[in-house]
Amino acid sequence: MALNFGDAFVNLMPKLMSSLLVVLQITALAFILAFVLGFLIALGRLSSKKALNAILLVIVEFIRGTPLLVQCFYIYFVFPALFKLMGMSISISAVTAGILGFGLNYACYMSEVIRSAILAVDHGQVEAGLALGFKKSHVMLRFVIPPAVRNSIPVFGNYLITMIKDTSILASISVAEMLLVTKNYAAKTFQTIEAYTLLALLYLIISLPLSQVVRILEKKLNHAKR
Amino acid sequence: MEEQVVFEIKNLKKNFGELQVLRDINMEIRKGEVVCIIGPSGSGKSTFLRCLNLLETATDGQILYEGADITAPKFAAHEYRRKVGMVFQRFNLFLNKSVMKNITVAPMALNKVEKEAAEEEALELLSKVGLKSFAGAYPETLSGGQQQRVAIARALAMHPDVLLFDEPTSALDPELVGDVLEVMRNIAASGMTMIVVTHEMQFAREVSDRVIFMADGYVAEEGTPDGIFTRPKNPRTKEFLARVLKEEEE
Amino acid sequence: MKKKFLGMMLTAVMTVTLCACGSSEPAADSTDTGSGDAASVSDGTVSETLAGYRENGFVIGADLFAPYIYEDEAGEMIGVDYDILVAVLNELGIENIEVKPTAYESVILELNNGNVDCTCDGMYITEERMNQGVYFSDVCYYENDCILIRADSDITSEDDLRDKKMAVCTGSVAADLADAMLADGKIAALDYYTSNDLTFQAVSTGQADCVLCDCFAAAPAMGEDSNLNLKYLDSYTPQLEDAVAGFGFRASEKEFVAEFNAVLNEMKEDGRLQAIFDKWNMSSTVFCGVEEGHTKNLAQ
Repeated sequence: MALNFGDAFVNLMPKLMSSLLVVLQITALAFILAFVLGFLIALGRLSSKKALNAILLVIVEFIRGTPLLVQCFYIYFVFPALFKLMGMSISISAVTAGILGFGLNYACYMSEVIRSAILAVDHGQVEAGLALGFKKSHVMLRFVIPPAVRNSIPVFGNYLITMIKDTSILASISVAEMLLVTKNYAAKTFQTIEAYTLLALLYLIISLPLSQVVRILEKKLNHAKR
Repeated sequence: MEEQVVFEIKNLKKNFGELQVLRDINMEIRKGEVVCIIGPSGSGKSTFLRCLNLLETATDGQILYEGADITAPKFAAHEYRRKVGMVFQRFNLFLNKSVMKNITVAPMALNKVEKEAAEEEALELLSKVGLKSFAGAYPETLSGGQQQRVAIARALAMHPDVLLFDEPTSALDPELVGDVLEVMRNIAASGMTMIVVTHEMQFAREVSDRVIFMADGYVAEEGTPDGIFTRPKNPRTKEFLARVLKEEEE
Repeated sequence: MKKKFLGMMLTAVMTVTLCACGSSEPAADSTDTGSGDAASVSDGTVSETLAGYRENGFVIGADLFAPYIYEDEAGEMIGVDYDILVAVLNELGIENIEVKPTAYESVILELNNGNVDCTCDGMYITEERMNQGVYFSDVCYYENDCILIRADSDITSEDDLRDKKMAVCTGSVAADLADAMLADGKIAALDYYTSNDLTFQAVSTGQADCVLCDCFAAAPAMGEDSNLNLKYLDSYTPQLEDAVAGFGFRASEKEFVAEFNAVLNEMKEDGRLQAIFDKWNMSSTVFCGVEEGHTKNLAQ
């Protein structure tokens, strides 16, 4: 069997490039959503209001306990059906469902990272802030959250890389991302080897530099600590 | 001459769950007094101090500051703490901020002091503690003694009426202790009301107006430095002093 | 005297033998499993093959696949092909019918080896297969494409699709057709899904307005008890025109196949075949009439 990478490259690459834009768009928006939501969830979980804490704990455990694909399916297929049952009609595009699903899912993981980073900040810093006359909320905002966020950056960097690769599951809800485009191409041309090799290479080309950046960030932050 | 009573502590009790740390504390602190609290570890000295600035909440009893009941529910603790500052055993400088920022952040945010004025005063305070050239440094580059002095400057920047010291030199290498004690001496001389929990007996003897010996959650004995150190009445005081002073001599 | 008697006896025996030979039908082929011949049933003469099947039973070679032929929860065989085959074979007097699960790729081989007696699963009638020794029945149905829309949809014609979004299963024949439709402006947008059931779900939920798929892939989704609430776009003309399917038999059993076709065509005319299609919620476009359904097997 003769492999024709040249053909595959010329025919598939343009499609992969435009689907890459979709991937980057979804990842960027979902990541921002996850960061903001994760932050709010972390603060909610740290608050002294027991009811809030309990509700958030249940939500977080539920989302961390079900697969991301199932959650995206739910948002894309089940939510419109549920709304229909209740007499309302909403339409969620596949891309929106992806952004929401990813944002919510990753928010739960990120909230745990932020929460433990906040708890890891030396309590002495908090007491110093309080002793000077700051309200507890101000102490958190000025002296606890900034170092906590800074310490979370390497982990978040890794989450970003993971998210980019995870977008491939959105093929199942018809998002025209890189895997679906490749599947279509391979099904028509039967150039399975060439197509999937190109796909894998493209993922690598995106992930490797990002990993480097995260590693450099990590080094810089460790330097600053000392 | 009767100085104004700043703190009135009545029947103060503090439990941590089953553990009774403060059993029944009664005390008065007057304006301008330098009071040193000494005693064995576990006697509740630090807990008592932290009750005074509400870092701990009393289980029972009352603390009156200038007549106001600070132990009352819904008392505005954060405003109160601007007048009653604290210096911690482990300094607790803000690690992500420079020395200058450490000192100016509270006055600027809470007392609404302008940036230039705050920085000017910060430099003055740094001079007073002997660290004028360290304004731009970050805490991790300073020695323990230097950090503690910055911490004192930070507390002073809020112009408190009272300064609480929670074992300020216990975490320091011996050779650095002297500089910090020197600063504290100067502050005492300027008339600040100070309550100091310490193991530095010499300092207590030389600088304080009154010494309080605490043991097992009670005030076991109190009196003038001379009285406590040379003529302790309570056997526990005697026992404690005998042990501690012998260590100091060594 | 003895010589004359022997001679008469010999003549008589020869005559009787000649007569007997003359009245028997031309013999069926070597693969005949039947014992005895012309034991005819009430409706006249039957082929030896048929007689053999009546006696010994008939084996269907099937790759179990919905909705052609598959097992229900109770383990019973059901399906479109099963219903058609059983109906025709029963009418031919064959009661003992067995289904032998066979991989699709090997079913023709099994047929030629005599392990199964016919193929099904919507096998296309092609010359290539005829060359492999398969003798096809008349066309049992068309395997063409259809469009599904929501039951409450107001789409009535193909023109209505111009501003609509279509869902299609990636990698299927329908995908190529849908791509062409998109390129020609017959639909406004096209979403790819990784399996058929997801395309149906998408239309049902409203994420797409219509789905283009193979009629036989659609049938399972169209049952009364399916809560997908879809209907066929009846005005749609299938684009796959040449996909005719038939049951495959051995080339040595031409006569039996003729008998089979007779019953099959009868069922086409009196509506029994359509009834089977209706039972399985098939699109109306799969029906192939008698005239156009004659299979021209290669000259044997």
